[in-house]
Amino acid sequence: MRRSGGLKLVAKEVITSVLVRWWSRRSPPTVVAGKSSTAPSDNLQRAMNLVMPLHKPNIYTRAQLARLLFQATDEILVGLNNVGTVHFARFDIVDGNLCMFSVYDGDFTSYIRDFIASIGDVFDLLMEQVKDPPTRPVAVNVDEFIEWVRVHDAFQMPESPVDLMSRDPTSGALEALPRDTIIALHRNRNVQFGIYRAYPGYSAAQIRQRLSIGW
Amino acid sequence: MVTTGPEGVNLHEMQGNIFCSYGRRYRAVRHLVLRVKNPVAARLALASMVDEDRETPDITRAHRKPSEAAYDWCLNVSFTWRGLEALGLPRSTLDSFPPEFRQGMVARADRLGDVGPSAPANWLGGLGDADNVHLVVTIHGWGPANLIPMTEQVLGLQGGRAFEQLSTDLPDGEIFPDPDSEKVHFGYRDGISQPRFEGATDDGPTPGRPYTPLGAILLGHNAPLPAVQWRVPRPADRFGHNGTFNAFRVLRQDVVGFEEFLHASATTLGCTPELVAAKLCGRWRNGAPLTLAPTEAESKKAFTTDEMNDFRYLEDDGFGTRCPIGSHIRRTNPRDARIVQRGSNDVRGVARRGMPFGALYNPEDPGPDERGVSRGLLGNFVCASLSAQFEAMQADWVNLGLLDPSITGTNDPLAGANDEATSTVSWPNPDGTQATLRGLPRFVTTLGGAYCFVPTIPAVKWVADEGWSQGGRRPAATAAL
Repeated sequence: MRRSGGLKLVAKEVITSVLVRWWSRRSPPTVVAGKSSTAPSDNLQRAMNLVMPLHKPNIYTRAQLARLLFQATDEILVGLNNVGTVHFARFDIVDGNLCMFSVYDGDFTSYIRDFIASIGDVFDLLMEQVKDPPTRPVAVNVDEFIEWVRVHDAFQMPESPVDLMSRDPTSGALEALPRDTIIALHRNRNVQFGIYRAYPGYSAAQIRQRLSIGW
Repeated sequence: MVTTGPEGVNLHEMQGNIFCSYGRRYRAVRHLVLRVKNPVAARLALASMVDEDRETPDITRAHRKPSEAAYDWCLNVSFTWRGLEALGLPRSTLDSFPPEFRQGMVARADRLGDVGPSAPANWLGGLGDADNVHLVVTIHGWGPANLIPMTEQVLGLQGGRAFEQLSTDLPDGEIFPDPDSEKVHFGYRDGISQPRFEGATDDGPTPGRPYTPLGAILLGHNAPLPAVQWRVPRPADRFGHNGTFNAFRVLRQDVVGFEEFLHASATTLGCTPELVAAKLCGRWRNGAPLTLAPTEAESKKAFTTDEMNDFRYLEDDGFGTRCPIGSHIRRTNPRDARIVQRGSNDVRGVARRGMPFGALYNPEDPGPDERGVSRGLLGNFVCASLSAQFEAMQADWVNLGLLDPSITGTNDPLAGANDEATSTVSWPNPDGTQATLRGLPRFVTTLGGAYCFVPTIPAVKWVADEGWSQGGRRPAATAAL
């Protein structure tokens, strides 16, 4: 009996895998990273999870990155100040990837563009360690860089459970997930499921203003 | 004719209506939204539009003085990415365009606030059918009568095999009769604050109207954002250089609803409807800026155009006591005001070329069914980067108010995607209290639009003669002609 149940599970996984690949080939992408909403709070405190595979993820590269980021701290802080819409940003090395995680306000492309206009030279140096980097200098090729960042940003799944599980948000069944969600999970190695806000969306400038620390 | 423009740009090689508008000599406009029926016929048609013969209408080129134009019509051509693809341009060229242009305006609808009644599914002119919107041909005429023969000539090019008009339900634009010819719907004088380019105008820069860097409007020149350059479509020398983008928009304006809102708000606030209109816009309806003329009496002063532009916010009106921070003109052109995105004050501006459609509304003498009259603006927002200029302004400033924390989360009271349930606008009164209006409806609804590339004349020739050759091989479509 136990063996029969196991076989059924394996068969179900194989069928699902084949089915999802078939769906994926037939369907155009329907959800894009950095999508906009007309609800203001949806456009504040948005997340970027930039995952950049390292060309050679060895100790030499990791040390180079550590030195570069320490040396560029002041420049990065000035850049964040100039952009004005970033709540926080941090660089991490996760498994062989240099990651930049940040929370920002407003339009994704404006955020990246303004950041690069301010500290493009820092990113030029970072890109030396990254696999398949965009054309440098990134400021001179800013359209290409924004596109590169969008591709390397972890895919943003719908933040609302109602959107994520369109048929029955309370259902525990995998079958309740809509096809778009399944295809997005299949196509994208890195995904993010949205931000759990501890308070309604406020912009970085609004928070600084209310704390009387300028904006 | 003077042919040298800004930074040595040859005006004879530029399409008209970019550096400066055609002006009020051309009182009517029609936008033909076209599909390429046959790519070879279409390329031959384009070739005939730049050959400077008299048999077929030619694309109107830039003039230093639009009034010197000899014809009773002007003709201009712009292409969507789908259109360039349909014409058979090589993949290397198509891929060299920025992503927002490749995707097109329909795909960017969420970002632009084109949702609900403004969603592409409701658009006119076939503009919601993004795959088939290939060209937008713009015809200006001295009057509406001049539009008809030109329409027939364009559609008849190459025996009618070149282009197909997707729909005829797009309204024509027409300047209001004098003395209202400088106004648009909602009653405001328009076109006061426009970028000016060195060499494109006869008069020099003034304190109120300095020159704008050419890179704000043309590709291949230094962008207004320091150290940054926009991508020039390839081949840059024969096709992309000196090209520009146009965000074409068909915008319906709820003129009756706007007037009703002004009067209701005036009653609520205990002021005149004209003051409410001025606070929503940032200018009185005659164009006088609130920063210089905060009272209705001061608005009567005869300002010159230069004077209407000669003001700053930082020292004169930092807190928006005169011109509200959330008003239309302050959101779209913050001048020297302190804004969140430091350094972006002068980066997102676009050149506006527009004309109203629908009859002028007279609130003093309304007709029997004014609500049923379709009125609005045929707008062209010309810039070198749709993403960095038009979209950034629309997404972050017009619709989110991200430029100042005191207005973040609110939309432009005139042009924003407002929802009566949540919309609000406020400004400080002289006595220190706050005036607040809630429940603003959406006064402007999008009826259509397209992202277009406006090439130079040599670039049109390249598209017609060489750009399609795809490495020397004639495309299969040739056989179909």
